[in-house]
Amino acid sequence: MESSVRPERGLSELLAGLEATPAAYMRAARRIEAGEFPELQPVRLAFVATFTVEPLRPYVMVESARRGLLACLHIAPFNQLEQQILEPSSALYAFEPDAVVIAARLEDIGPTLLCPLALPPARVEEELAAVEARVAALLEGLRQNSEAPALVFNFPPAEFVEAGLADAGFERPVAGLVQRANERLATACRRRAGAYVFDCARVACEVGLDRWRDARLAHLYRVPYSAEAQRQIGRRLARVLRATLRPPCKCLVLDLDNTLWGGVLAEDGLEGIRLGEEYPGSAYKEFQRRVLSLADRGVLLAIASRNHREEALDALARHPDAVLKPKHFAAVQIHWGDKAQSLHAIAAELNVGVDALAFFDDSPVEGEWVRTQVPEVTVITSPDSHLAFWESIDESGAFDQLLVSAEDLQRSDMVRNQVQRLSLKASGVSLEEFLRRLAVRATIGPIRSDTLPRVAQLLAKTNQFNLTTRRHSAAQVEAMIRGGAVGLWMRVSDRFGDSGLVGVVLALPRLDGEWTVDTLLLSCRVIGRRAETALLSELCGEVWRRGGRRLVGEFIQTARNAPAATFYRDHGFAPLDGEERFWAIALEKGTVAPPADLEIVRVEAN
Amino acid sequence: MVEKRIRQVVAEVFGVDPSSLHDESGPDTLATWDSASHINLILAVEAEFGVTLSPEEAMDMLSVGLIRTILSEKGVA
Repeated sequence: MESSVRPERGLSELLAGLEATPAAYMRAARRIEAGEFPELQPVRLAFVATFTVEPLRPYVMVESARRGLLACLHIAPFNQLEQQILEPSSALYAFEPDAVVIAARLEDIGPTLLCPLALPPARVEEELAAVEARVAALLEGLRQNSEAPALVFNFPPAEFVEAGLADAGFERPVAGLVQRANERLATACRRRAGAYVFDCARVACEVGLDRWRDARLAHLYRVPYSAEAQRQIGRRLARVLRATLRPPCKCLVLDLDNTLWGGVLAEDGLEGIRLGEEYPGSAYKEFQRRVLSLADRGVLLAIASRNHREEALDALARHPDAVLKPKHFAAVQIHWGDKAQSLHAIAAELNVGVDALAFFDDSPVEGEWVRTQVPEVTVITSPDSHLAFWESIDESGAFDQLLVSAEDLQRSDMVRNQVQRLSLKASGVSLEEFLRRLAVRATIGPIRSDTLPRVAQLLAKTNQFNLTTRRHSAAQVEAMIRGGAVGLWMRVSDRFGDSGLVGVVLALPRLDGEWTVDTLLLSCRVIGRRAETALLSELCGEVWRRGGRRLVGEFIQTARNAPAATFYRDHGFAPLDGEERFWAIALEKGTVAPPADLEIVRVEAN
Repeated sequence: MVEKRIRQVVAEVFGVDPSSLHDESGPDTLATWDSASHINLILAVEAEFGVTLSPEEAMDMLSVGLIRTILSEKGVA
């Protein structure tokens, strides 16, 4: 008989060999829960649901461990949404969650929408509004009591289609009503800081509706999901949870041969490489399209390839089926040298840390080399088949982000504008002359709910020009401003384009007219244009108007924020200690003059 | 053989040593055998033996001995 005492194995071995069975997941979850793997980052996750959530536990635990997280779960009593969320003394808040899952079935919070035959057309809007209002009230209630991000399950397609075959042609198809309910739920989330949709509907489609539900579990135990559905929800939830905790990589570094096309350019030539409408070229072309969608989302692309530089760039520029052109790449390292060095060079060129890079190469040897030489880089393991390239990148979670901001959508344009700016800079004029020609404009306004998501995004990912690197959540910033803090955002534009919302400052009132700068940051895209001076100047003005007479700045040194080290000294602040952490300046009207060659526009809204 | 596999599955679901289990082991003797983990037991037994349990069988499966009885009725020797 097999002994229950198993040989000790590491986490990666445990997960790699894990069977997709409930028993295997439960056994693995027990070892994870017992604290066997101290390398995991603990995260406290609470569930509030209208149904039985308990069976998800082993799947969430194991899949979270796969993403480096030790999920500590709290499951609120069944069907107690308001009781738990609106009551400050509830067990939910005693648990002190890092994230809260809100999972309500449409059967429970909007059942009439699932019965369109009996639903008068005039009541549809009313019912949809009621669903949105209930979700909104829960999110508001959560915010009163916790700063934890909320992950709100949306509604999977209806299990029962009342009108049968006629539903799709019916004027109020149940499929459409569920979709509209999901849009309302998304609106409720979008309007609130730190609230995100968990796309349960998408997971249901991926699993397939036939395999999604287990009628026995639904009737006996009020569990709406089959075992397979539970596992897939666990996988997606772990991915989302990780995305709430860690910023996405900023740049995808790609190989060329057998990655962006099939074959080896130096051997097969431009005509010989596989890239086109027919297999296998079609698989590479599709991969290029998907990579381009990452760029559209704001991810920078770069190349690290062992090739002849001119020949390779020429192939991208001239190949009729190349979707990715040289202009799509923000940095290019094509030579016969070491790829670890290439990654360092790309990071330097893009002004990001190497930890912001993800590397994808069909060669496992290159991947392993980079892993050993530059462990900070996220190396995406190459799959056996080129048909699975995109899935590997997607599933890695390296580029997972829970919201796409307007700045993300603009970024690929901004990279090109940056290149033009650099060439203007190279033409040998003084910085003042350069800035004057650039016609830099800083637009500055108070942080409100519309700008809060982007502000939180900047707080989460800005490293270089960040004086204190305090990673406040959107909800924390909101609370600070409600408590009397000054919070300003800044957009920067110039004659080449708009860099978007790129600066944030937060200052808190202390005693006797003293204010402290809690946070001051600037996206690295706009460093060196005096925009930081504009932001500080506006802050001093606003604090002075609110009665502040002395401003204390703080510089907390990190491995990455050297560009901000002399910021307070450069602006006339005096050090308060030998460590040069705290700096102070007396405020008068006009303390810290605005920069001469930059236009400041003050607005009340974004 | 079936006996051993049943004990192994029950042990994995409830986190106990398989050798500590006997025919009468059930919700009354195992602290971790509650209604939530019973759901996982149902799914684990189905996956292990490749069977589908009816709702009645799923509800009745309340001891190691009963699991064996139900499985043998379904032709698992």
